[in-house]
Amino acid sequence: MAEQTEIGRELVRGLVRAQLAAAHRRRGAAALRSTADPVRAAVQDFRILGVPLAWWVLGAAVYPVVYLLARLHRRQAERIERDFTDLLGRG
Amino acid sequence: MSALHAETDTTSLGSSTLSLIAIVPVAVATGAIGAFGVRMARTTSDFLVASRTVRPGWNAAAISGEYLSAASFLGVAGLIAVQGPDALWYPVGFTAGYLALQLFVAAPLRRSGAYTVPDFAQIRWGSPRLRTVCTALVLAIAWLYLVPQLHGAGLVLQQVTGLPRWVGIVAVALVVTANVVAGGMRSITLVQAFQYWFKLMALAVPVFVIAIITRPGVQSLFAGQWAESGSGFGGSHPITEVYSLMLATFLGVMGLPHVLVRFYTTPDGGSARATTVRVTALLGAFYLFPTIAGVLMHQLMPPPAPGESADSMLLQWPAVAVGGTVGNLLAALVAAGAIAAFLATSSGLVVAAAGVLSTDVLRGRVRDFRWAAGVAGLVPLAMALPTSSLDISQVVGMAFAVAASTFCPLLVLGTWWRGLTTAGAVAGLIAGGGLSLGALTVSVVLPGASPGPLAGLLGQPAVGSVPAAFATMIAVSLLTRSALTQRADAVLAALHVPGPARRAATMPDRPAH
Repeated sequence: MAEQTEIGRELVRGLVRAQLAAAHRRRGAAALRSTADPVRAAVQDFRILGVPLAWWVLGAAVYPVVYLLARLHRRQAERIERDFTDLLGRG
Repeated sequence: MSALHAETDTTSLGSSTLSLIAIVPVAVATGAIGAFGVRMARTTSDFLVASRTVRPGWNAAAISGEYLSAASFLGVAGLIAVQGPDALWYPVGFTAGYLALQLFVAAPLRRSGAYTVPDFAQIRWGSPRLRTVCTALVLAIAWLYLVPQLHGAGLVLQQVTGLPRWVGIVAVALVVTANVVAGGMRSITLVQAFQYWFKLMALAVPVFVIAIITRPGVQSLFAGQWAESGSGFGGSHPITEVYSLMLATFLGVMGLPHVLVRFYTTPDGGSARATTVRVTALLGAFYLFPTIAGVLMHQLMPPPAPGESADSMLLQWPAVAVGGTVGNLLAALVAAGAIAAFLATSSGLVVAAAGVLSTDVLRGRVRDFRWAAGVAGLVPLAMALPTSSLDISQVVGMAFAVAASTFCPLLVLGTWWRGLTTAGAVAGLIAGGGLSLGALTVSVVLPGASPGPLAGLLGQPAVGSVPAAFATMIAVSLLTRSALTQRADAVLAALHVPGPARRAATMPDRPAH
């Protein structure tokens, strides 16, 4: 790792790719959610406890989902980093 | 509007006095802490980043406290009351932006050791030219963000004291600038953390009390055309405008100068991630209340007159909804919360702008920082005085659009793609910054001139300028591929390799601080 060897570079590139893939998976989930929302918002008449569905989704439900996605990503990113450190330790 | 004025006029004396009593301690406390902080802050680094040992819990509350500006406090509730569910995209985007920050830049950016984007550019590419472009953009974004904050503060003081708006704008710009010159608020994480809880309380208490007193029927709250989504923000292309705002806010947070600098105060990359997760929870909890307030306000209050902004609705709401002493007390609480929101965000922005001014234009000593803070606070004052007030959230949305069109592609591609060259970065920043700032200038300077079908999008340019910036960066980088050096590999290693293995992966050169 200390000198920029070919193996070191490849290891780091592997790490970067794994982390990026993890980020993109969460982003994909978020994007899917947000593109689905305008569609769901089209269902105007559906109400829960008198509040239209669009208000529930955009006003309340979206926040816990953002929080959970952020948490999931943090756990996954840390797992990738642990694996990488273990790999270095073995080698 | 006339009915509304008659109603508020009868109680204006009591309400003004109470509001002043509530606002003064907030301002005095902020100033006193700034004066106290000056004795603790010895170096520019202390001024700016509180020596990098702040734990995630405190830091998350501090980030949220600094981030929740007048746009979130006054603007969001007013827009929801006027525009209905489509305005919910503002708070959703303001929060989801931290998810994008978490996914793509939080940990690598902290490991880079940069606390401003120009620093990051210096570390990643080592190019003075790119650094200069970044410095100019930091100032543009910070000042674009500061102007609506000043307008908001002028509005609050006008409501409370009846003085002309410019008096409030000047007074508050001077207070913030003097405070930053004296203390460097950034070093006081505790204050910013407290600010979050204070703002939450200043909005939650009125919402609960008014909801209990007025007991509105839920069915009647969500009645009519207003409660249905799909009408956008009043422009001609509702769906495109909504997507443009989503893009601007989701990708813009990571490029905001006062947000970025806070991540440098965490000990390492892992705690930067932990901090972001908590920020999403805190923001989500806060935004429930402007949403409920907006819904209740829509039922009780007449819409603002054409040409008036919706920002003052929240200030008048307690008097209209319940009136009497309770209404005045609640109005005072809201006014104090709004002033707290204003002080926190503008101090953060002035510190961030002064930080890049003093390190990139001056020589980075504490004395230079004070001069820079003076400039950083007074330029937006000069911009705010001659301009009239648009909706705070709308202008803040424009600052997000510029950040999303410039720093988002720079940080994301710079962090994840070794192939981004200096030329590509400069070209992309100029393309994205030029398009977004150009469109915004046209939409603000010539609001009536609508060049054909794109009129509504000039105020929401992200949908075009963000992809253009990404595409330019990638295309120019591929064309100048021969300029790539080993440096890119070394920096990417330092950005991504976690704790224990970091000794090996060292940064090529760090900026001197």
